[in-house]
Amino acid sequence: MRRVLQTLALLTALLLGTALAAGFPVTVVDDLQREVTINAAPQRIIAMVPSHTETVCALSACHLLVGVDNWSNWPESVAELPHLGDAFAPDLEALVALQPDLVLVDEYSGLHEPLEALGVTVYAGTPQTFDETLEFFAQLGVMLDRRTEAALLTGRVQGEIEGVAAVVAGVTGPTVFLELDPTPYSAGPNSFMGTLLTMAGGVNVLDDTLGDFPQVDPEYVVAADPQVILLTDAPFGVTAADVAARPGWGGISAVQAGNVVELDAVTVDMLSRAGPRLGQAVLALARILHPALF
Amino acid sequence: MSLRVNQVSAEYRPNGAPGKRVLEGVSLHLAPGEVVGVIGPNGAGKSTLLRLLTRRLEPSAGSITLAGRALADFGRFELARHLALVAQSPVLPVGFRVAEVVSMGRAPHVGLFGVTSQADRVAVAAALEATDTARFGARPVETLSGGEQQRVVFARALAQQPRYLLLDEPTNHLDLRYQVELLGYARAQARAGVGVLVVLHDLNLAARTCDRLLVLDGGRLVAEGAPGAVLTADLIGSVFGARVRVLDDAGTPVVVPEFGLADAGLQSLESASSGDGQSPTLLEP
Amino acid sequence: MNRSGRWLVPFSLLATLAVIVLAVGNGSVYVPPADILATFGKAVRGEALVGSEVIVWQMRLPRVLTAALVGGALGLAGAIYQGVFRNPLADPYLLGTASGAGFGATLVAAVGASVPLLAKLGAPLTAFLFGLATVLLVAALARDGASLPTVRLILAGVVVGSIFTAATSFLMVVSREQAAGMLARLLGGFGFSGWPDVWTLLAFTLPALLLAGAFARALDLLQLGEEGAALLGLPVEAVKYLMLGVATLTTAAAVSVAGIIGFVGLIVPHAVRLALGPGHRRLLPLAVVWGAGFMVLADLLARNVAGPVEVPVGIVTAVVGGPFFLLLLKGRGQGGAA
Repeated sequence: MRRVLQTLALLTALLLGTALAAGFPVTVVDDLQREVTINAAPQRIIAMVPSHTETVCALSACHLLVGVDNWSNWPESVAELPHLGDAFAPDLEALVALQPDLVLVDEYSGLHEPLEALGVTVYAGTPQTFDETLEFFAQLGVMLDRRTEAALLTGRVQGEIEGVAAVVAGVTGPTVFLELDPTPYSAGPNSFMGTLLTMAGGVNVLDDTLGDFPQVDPEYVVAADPQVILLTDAPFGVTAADVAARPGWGGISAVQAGNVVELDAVTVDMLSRAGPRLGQAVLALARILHPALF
Repeated sequence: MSLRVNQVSAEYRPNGAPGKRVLEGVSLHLAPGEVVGVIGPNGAGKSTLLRLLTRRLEPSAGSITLAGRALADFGRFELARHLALVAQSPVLPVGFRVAEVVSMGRAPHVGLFGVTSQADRVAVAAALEATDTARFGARPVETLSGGEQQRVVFARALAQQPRYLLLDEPTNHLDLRYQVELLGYARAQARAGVGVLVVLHDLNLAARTCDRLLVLDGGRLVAEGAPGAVLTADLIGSVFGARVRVLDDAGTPVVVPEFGLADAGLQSLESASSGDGQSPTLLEP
Repeated sequence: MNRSGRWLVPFSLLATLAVIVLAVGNGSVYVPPADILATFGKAVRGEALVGSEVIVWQMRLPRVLTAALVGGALGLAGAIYQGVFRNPLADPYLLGTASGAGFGATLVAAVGASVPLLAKLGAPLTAFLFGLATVLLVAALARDGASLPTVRLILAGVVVGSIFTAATSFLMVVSREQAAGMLARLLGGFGFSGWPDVWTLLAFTLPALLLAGAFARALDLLQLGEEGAALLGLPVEAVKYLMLGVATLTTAAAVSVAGIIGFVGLIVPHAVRLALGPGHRRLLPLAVVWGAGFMVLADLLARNVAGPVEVPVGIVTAVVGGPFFLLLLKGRGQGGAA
């Protein structure tokens, strides 16, 4: 039933999108409850959040990007664009000099204030959950006059996720410890990454009472004895050998079975960004967790 | 056994550059059993003299010997067994009991790592006794009055069992009673055979306490001798720039400052001249 | 003022031991004392350990012992610094040791992946070396001929410490994803303390205590002021260099193992002084014992107050230590040593 409704929604969006193609000026509300009015389809876009860069490109608007932040690295073509610092240390002058007609920033850095003062159209917001990500595809589609592309993107990502879900349905997933950092910090089941883990058929050893990004007592991990340990801090030098050397961790099932996975930088990027590669991220996780099924 | 200072000069040399001469060709000797006072205006070099004697400063000329040996040859602890200094405003080790503070004076004998012996305990007890501070023994030093604290510092110096006791203006901030008391202890030590050198501001206390006086002015020794001989109105006038009259109290001079001639009541006393050894004229109330 | 210190010393030792046993038994998994002993026996006999025995022997026990030794080290270092600077507000981080060590550890986290030398040295050793280097730098800056003037030392320490702290903050800002972890490590913790940490700290703390204890009388004499002490024959500069050196090595070792844990080095010696007076013969060993007990308690709270989520122990020491210390001060308010 859900499938049917979703398909209907998709078709409606497509039709509406086409019908309203010439719908400017358009006003949207960003995460700071600001009303952002866009008078015409933007031709010079700056994205200061990596996931926004990816989403813009996924909506076939990559050629409209004139600048990105330092952390944006996908797709490869953005490497040639001017890099304008990052959310907390932006190169404002260079940014404004590029004369953007739309700047996408996050809601925490306060970057919208100076830009607003300079009369630049700025949208402040980032999706924090899986559902918000899909909604953002649609909203960005409205802002960029790419409604059709947005609908198709949403459909694709949903399709990827559902594809994975279908394969892992009914299979009891392995218990997983998701390590964000060697302190150790981990991701709870309701966090963004935790949600992706669940979709990939993994069972988080943290329960939801511990919060979304807790610093965990190492004893707890030993007692929980996860079957798989995913190292999202591997790109920063943490290795499976390091993990095995920690006091008491040598006996963990994941260590004994050689299931301490050093995730590569690309996978980690996909897992941390609320953008178009979500489906691929879930697929990558699912491949690791259920090698027999993929 | 004397402490001798021979033609000593001293300079303050900031950053190694030749500096100001603070003492010039000063000589003195201190024998066991005598009380020698050092007086002079501020900046005369009195503190410098004490610094030289405790080796905080080196002479730029001349020599200092103790019992025939050069001062520089003494080891640190050895020197502290010979010389003890009661400083002007000594640092109080907060929280320590009086007995503990006085025991610190035994450090030159016990050393850093040695164990205290019966001799040490006896010395401490004697020092407390001599300064009448035994009854405060268990009290933290900071709970004592100013005068009592200075007695404790004195006791600590006594605990060193030094041959020579140097006192640096020990009475400046004390009540009269404690001033007299402290100098009384100093005299008692001299009677027991210790050589006492005391720097004083108060000329009358100096006159009463000391067997000999040394007058420093501008880094030089300008007078030396018994108080009666040294403390003349002329000398005091030229060294201290103050107009005084010196009266005689059974051989001990009494210095009386003059406050100017405007007061009619004093005019009748103008005729009484100073320094000729006559009995003092009584003042009308 | 309570001077019947005779009972306080053995009592402190027993209390600290009791706290250690309590801490080993409690955590995300409760282990009764009988089981602790059984595990101890098994481990000593070389038998293989299973289940919670692994947790106790390989994780809890070394963690608790590390905490005890770090607390003891900081208490000792704090007592020495307070003695040398004649200031009850001095703490072991005064000369920049912690800032330097923190920078070293953060540097390894930030660029260790791309600088093989740093990766090889590892965070603890790098932290230790930077901690030492900082103090050497401070001493060099403050030196005035052969002497080490106290005021210049403190000023240089503050300045150099600030520079390293700023540098550390910079590293955190440019290492965005790792910033949370870096901060947590800086705030201090015993998360992965193992037996090697225990041996390392023992190698530093025990000789430090013995050496400082030998100089207890010298430290007492220093309380007469540097001039007063020199007049009694004390080689003041040599004693200062030596004692500060010992305290700094101990502090650097503690920080490199456990991060920058505040408060312990400041209030533990102070508390001992309030309870027992300033004589260093008793102050130094008791500062170690009380420091150990306090740190073990703080770590126990840090890993249990919020379930399996760990609170950085530096936060606990401040939150617990602060009010406790205020109470102590109030009780001693009138007529006691300040």
